[in-house]
Amino acid sequence: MTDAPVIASARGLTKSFGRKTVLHGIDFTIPAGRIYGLLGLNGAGKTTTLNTLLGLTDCGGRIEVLGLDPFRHRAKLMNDVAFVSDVASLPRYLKVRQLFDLVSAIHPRFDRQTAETFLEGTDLKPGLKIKTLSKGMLAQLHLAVVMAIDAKLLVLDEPTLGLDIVYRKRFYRRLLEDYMAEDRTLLITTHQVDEIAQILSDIMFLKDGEIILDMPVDEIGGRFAQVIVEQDRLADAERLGPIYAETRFGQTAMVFERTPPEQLEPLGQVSTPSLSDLFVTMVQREDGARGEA
Amino acid sequence: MRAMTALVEREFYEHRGAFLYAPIVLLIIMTVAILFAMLSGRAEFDLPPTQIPLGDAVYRVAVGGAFLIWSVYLIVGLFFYYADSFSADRRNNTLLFWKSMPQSDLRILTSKALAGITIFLALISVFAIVTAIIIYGVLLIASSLFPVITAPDPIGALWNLFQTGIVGVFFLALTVLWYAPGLAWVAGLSTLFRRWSIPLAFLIPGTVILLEYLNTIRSSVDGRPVADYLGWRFEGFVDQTQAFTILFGQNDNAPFALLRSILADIDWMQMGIGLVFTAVVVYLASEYRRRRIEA
Repeated sequence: MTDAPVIASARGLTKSFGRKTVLHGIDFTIPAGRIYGLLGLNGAGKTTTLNTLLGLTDCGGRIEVLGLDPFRHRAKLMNDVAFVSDVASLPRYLKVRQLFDLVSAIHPRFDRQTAETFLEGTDLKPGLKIKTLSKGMLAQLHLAVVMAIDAKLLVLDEPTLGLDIVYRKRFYRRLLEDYMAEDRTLLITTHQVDEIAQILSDIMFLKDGEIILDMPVDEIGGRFAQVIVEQDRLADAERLGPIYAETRFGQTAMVFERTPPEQLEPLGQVSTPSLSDLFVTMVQREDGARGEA
Repeated sequence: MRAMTALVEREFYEHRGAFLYAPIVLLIIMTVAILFAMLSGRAEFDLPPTQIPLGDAVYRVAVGGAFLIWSVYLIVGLFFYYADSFSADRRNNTLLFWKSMPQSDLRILTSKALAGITIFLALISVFAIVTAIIIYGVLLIASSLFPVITAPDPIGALWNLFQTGIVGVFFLALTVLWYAPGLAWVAGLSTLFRRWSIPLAFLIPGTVILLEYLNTIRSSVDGRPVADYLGWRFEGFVDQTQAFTILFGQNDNAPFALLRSILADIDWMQMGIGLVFTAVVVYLASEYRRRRIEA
């Protein structure tokens, strides 16, 4: 963990809907200047975690974002936090120009000129009604609005859901090139894990309301290894205790945790698991063990 | 202040259909209908010449009538507006966008509450004044077609419009304030039940009144306080017959005399209670909204 100031921290975070407990006392700390990927299967508790961070719902345990209790001080917190939970949530009765007028008046950190600069060269014109925009254009517009907000924390909950691959790539490229800076922190959830793998600095995997892995991306290679095991070494590999094994097209891939490389290299081709492979490994591992932060 | 103004403005953008476009259409239809009736010779004036009042008084009453009619439109329009607006942000997940802005739920609902007494009141006032101007045009045409009718001269008409207009705007504002608890009632229900707020706004007090009535029959007790109170409240705060009598008077300052009469007759205690009730509903609705995220 770095010495950067803490943007958000949670201790014993719990949330229940009726009798169903969605978050089981999770702990995490998000330092400034990082790009966090919050990943989990449907129903794992990702959106609930984000909602508690954003003050959209109350919760048990203790949570602080920028030193504030988000649920009690959501309006104040939103001066320094921007979020996109659904790109289709922009008010449809407004025109693009009216949206910028409105946000200029109600958000002190919104820079209209920046937002307009983001839209230069796109098909988004100020006189267009939002209800006539395609989903891709809506995403561009929403991104322009949040990127024009000088926020310390940007939270994106499935921001590219329903967008085609071209828009998705453009979305993330602009996010990286035009928005991210040292003092800004990004927290993002998505199912398209590999699309954001290159931009993440940290990952947090959620499963059934619990964090099963929380670590910097650049430490994955030092802790996890994936081996395409040669057929005649399967028994040896099994003895090393893989945390996950899968047979693909006749080849057996195994994932090991904290196993010395010199023990793995004789077994077959060793590589660092991709983010999606690691995710599948962690949510499907059967030993119930959890990765440590 | 700038943020609140912008939030009220966004209410206008979202609901301009009811308070801008619909009144324009109504005004056009009304004007065409009146002109058609007059120019096609179907208008009849059966009053003997001695009973036709002077043009100034006629015009004052016409302007007052315009404000009265538009006050009904305003209250009906606001009823439907508040039956929707407190839950409107839940459409298309828009609530999430507004919650990403540094504005509290209380502030946003307050802007919706204020929209009725500011932007929408101003719009309907403009329509009432435009109606009054159209009425003057109709009076001019009528006076040329029917000599028994006299229209006030332009300066006199302007003076009457100015005086009656000011009183009319006050009247509209007082009307909104008087009916504010009723509007808050449907707004509060809308927060919980969305479009079901409209039938529930009548069904709940209707049920209470029915039970009260049945209890009265069973126990032979006189008086039905809920029914009586709601009935009294619904009647409004102005004796319309008295108001028109004052406007018909030959007093040059009749509109201001009417305003003094209205201000003197209002039950300010009840007005205050109603506004406190309204404020409580807005606060409770904002607390509900604060805890709600799903569309």
